[in-house]
Amino acid sequence: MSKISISVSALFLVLAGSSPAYAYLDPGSISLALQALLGGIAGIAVTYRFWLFKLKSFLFGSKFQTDSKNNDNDNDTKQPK
Amino acid sequence: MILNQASFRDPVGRVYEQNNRVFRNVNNSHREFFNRFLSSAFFTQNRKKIVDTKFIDSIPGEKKKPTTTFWLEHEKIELITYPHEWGFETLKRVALFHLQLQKEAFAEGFVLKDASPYNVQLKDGEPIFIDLLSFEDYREGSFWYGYNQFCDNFLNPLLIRSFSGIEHNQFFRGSIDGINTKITSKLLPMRSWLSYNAVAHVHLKAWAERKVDSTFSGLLLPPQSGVSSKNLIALWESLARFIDKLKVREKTYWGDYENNTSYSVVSENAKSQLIARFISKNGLQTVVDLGCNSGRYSRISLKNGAKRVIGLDFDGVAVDKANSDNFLRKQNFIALQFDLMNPSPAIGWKNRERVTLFDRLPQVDAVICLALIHHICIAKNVPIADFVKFLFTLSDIVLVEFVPKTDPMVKGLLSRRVDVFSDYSEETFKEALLKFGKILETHHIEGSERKVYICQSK
Repeated sequence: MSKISISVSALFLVLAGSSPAYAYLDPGSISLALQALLGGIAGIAVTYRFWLFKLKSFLFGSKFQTDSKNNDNDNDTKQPK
Repeated sequence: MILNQASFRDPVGRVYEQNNRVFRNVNNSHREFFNRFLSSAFFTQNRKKIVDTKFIDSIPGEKKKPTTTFWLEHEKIELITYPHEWGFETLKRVALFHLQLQKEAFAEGFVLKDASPYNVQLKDGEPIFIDLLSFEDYREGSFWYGYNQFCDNFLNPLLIRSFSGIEHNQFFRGSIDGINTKITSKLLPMRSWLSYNAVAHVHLKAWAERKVDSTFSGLLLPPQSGVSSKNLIALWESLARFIDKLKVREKTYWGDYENNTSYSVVSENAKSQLIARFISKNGLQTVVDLGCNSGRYSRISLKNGAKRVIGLDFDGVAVDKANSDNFLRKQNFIALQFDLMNPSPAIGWKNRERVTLFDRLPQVDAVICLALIHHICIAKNVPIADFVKFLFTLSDIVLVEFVPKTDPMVKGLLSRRVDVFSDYSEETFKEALLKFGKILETHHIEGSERKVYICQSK
């Protein structure tokens, strides 16, 4: 979440035309700030889906087990070694 | 040894070709990385997805071993194709391949530092990654540096096609770096604002870029820390899910031509048998199918002994249909979106970075050109002799169908214009064939007034 906050702040500062200390932003850099934000949202979405399936599985039983299992795998996508 | 003019963008290494072999000269600073990369589980387990590569001590004819660089040899990809020649489905397939490969590399600690569509080619109908210099070690917390390039070259072109019905091909011919986000944002319809991904990756991005452009006050740091590995994976997966759902909505006449055709079943069967015999009797291995449409005669060629067929057609929907065909997709076949009246140009740095398709086509054994001549010589006014001469520049063996003015399709073409085509006759056609080659066989197509000529160049 903290990275999202940083990104949101970064975007806000840029778009508000503020002039922080070190400076220079080209369109490539804005895409990096945006990427951090969108990456954060995508990360939250994965976690959200994971817990949603867990909840459905808890509430409705085995019907959602398969989905939950798949989502477990998604959530555990291999991180870099 | 010929320097590949497209390989200058990464100063770490350059690509050379010699006697049908491909070499890459790489700076020693990357030797340790390639030692690790080429022996990694990621590389060894993805042999079909990444171009075969090995270390070599020196290249043939080299007198002195390099001291500051080293050599790699890559498997040669017979036909290099460009995104402006790909249909929507191929571009989509390559985009998903890129994201999947990125994810698999990531699991082994590697990332792709760029996202150029030119780095992926199609071999035996499957995508294959050819630029090994794009891989580098992942550093925790860094960004996905190929994000912008991925948007410009994959996401944006696919979106404008899917949402607005605008083909990406013409854009790529004019802009080697794809379609930027600001243009894409303007081209997308209102309903794109209902899509989270279109809003996030296009409209919001375009707005931010415009803001920066207009103020240039700017001026802020990119975030000090990048994206966590978990979020990077989530971002790639969410993009892949979104792209996977994108579809082309419109239909074209040519896309359903096999069902719309005016030919009788008798004529079609006669033509099919003729092609089958032509391919098998002459043992033709590599064939160009000009005006391939959805691949009917490419299929027949491959079923009758051809080992490889390159289909060319100007209609994107027909090309997608051919490439999606259950039989063709398992063969050494590719259909490219290619307008004979406006062929792939040379683009990029000094007009030599990306060359014309004619400069890239491998040597072929035969060209088949069915039901095309009237579209070129009547609809587009190309002199018939010039067209015949062109066919012989592609191959020594040519199978070409002549469609006379009495044919219903030609009558249709002429119905709304003045017939200024006095040279469009079987006589002038034959004269041209005899000027540039010799006629080996002539076949009347049953149930029509058309004739197929099989010829050999002089």
